[in-house]
Amino acid sequence: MSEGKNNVSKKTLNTIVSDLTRPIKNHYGFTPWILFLTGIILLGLFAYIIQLKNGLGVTAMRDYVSWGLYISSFIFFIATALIGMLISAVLGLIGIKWITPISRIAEMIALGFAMWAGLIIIFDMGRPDRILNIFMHGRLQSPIVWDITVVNTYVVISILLFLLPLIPDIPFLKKTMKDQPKWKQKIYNLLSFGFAGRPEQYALIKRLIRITAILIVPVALAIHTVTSWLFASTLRVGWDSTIFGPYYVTGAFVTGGAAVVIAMFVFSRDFRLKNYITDFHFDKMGRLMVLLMLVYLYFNINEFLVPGYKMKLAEKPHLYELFQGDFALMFWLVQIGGLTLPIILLLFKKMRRPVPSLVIAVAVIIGAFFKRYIITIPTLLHPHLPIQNVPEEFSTYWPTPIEWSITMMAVAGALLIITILAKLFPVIPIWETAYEEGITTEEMNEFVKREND
Amino acid sequence: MINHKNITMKYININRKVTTLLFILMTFSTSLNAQWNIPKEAKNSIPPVEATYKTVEEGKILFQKNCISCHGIPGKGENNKAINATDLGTESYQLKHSVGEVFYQFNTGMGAMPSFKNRFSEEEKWHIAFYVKSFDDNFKISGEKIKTLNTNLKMSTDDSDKTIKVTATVTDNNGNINAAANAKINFYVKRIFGNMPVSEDIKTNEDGIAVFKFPDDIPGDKEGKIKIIAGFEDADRYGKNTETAEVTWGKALHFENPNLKRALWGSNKRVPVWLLITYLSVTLGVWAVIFYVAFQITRIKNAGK
Repeated sequence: MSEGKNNVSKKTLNTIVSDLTRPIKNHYGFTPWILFLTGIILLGLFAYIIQLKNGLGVTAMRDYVSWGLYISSFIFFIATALIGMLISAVLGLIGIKWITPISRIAEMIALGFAMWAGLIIIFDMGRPDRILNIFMHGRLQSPIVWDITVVNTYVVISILLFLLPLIPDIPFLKKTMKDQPKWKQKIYNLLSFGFAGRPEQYALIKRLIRITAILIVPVALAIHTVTSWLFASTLRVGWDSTIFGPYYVTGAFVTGGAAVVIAMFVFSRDFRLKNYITDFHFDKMGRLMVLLMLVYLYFNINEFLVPGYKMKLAEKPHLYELFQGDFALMFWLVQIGGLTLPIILLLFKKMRRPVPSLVIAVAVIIGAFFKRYIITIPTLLHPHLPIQNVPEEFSTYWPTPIEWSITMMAVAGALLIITILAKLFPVIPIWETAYEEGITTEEMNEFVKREND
Repeated sequence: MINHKNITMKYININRKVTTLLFILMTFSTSLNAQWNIPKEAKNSIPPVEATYKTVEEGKILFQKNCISCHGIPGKGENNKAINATDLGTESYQLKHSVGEVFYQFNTGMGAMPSFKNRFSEEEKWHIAFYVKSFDDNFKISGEKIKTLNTNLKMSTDDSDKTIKVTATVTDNNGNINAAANAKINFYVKRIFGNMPVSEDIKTNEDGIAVFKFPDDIPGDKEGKIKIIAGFEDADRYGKNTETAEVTWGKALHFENPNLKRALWGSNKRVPVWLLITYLSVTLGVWAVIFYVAFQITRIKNAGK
């Protein structure tokens, strides 16, 4: 190893470390953003207090539609959280290199949304204290018990999969964050787990990452399959489907993919990481999105064409409602604007550049949100056993401001978690980036030590 | 060759069946909408027999056997609407149809309503027409109304050969008690939704005694208990009084409570074994790996030292 090459490496490592840690120190625009999120959360909390005080009557949910905006948001959150598994685990395990700068972003999105998904379930309960009943009297036969199990498991594994690749970054943080508040340094000390860059430590961490990445694949598949079973294990029209598991899982990848594209754009611009999250990455994500959306479109065609061809008596009003009835506008906007059109557009290379990608991803994610709404609500409006003398309000549903506020609180909450994580830790893994630039672990250790002296 | 012929024959057969079916359906559907075309002379035709309470009663028995399945009891709205059968007790029907016209309709039939021309004797057909017209207040019925007799039933059961003995008596105006001979007795078993008839054509003998051998295959409750009811078939004449007795001649029922076995619908204690094993092995397996990884993290510090 010549002296010259060593210098080049040092310089690159220097740039990498300073580029990736700069956003943690730089608070430009941070305060207004946090105030904005906190404002939404406070508004949501206020709405939630009203709901707690007056009961679920303040929502638009009645005897017919008993799963409203909350549960459809819950599926949306779980769906978004699934992307962590696809990008860090599946693509990572098959050795795809371009995911390095976005894998931690995907994992942060997964954490933020998975944590709030559990909370949305609580928001949907008129008596949240009764959540304990599921632990005391829950029946193993109930998909709801499976769901609670698997959501919590997924959150824990996601935390592990976020923490493990972070550990080798901690020495860099300890070194560069000396001017930062004490509590931050305490967190770094705690999370370093005594990592000192020894080869055995790297080997151990890589092994643990591998184990966790393998473990999260079946668990992530399970989480969204079980979520779909909450619907598909009933006999209700529109839910009574054998393909609901894969239908939800592929839909989740589309949602999470769009979320990652949006986050990539924001971080690359706001954190000035354009040299790390490049057009190349947007192009790759665009291609991945096309694949994911094509698979999802395939399931959509199955889900609607097959029952639509048969038009069973019970399904007829439901399908007409979607195709040309009250939900037709939303349905076709979601299917065309949120799925078909994005597929066609992303086939063009120009459309996979950052700005068009962002616009398309926003359309996809809005479509994905209302897609869950369309899965949940129209079915409930067609009860199996109609009640006699039903009050007019039972047969329609549109969320009240209380429901919107609480749902927006959940969105803001998830974004807040992502923001806090991005403000504590580099959004792009330092050691993996450096490693791909050809910098050895010894050089990294040397870098950390030398500056320490 | 043979094969070919067979297939052709089969095809022709199917074809013929389809054509026949279509033909039946068409006749049926057109006949439902067809109109009665009753000749004028039918309206004023004079019955060859007299309408008395007795003949009306005869007609009632025949009506109940042959007409009630479509028309229901007149005036109760029990008519089968799907095939356009008329409720014969309504005022509109009674006003439009004389007894002769009722007879004509019954005799000729139309569409779904079959002809009963050759089924009954002339007299019997008129009896039925009388019964139908008896729901018209203006229809004249001569003779005396049938008086309900003052009867008494006594029932005794014999466990040894599962027989029921019923003794029917009549008390006349003078207070004399006589045997009710030749009276039809019906035996029923009490069920949740009404009484199930179990006997057929059982009549009292000259001493007013009817004996019924109880069948072996009637299900009872868990202990095989059964409630038997006996009563006169002709309640108008003999009264509605019945006698009941409880016996243990039924087949004892053994049914499992589906809530007491392991099943998907059971309580948490009765979770199916396969589900319990799957849930526990998957959950514990995953959490074992989680704990393993968490434990390994604590060993990072000393690795390679």
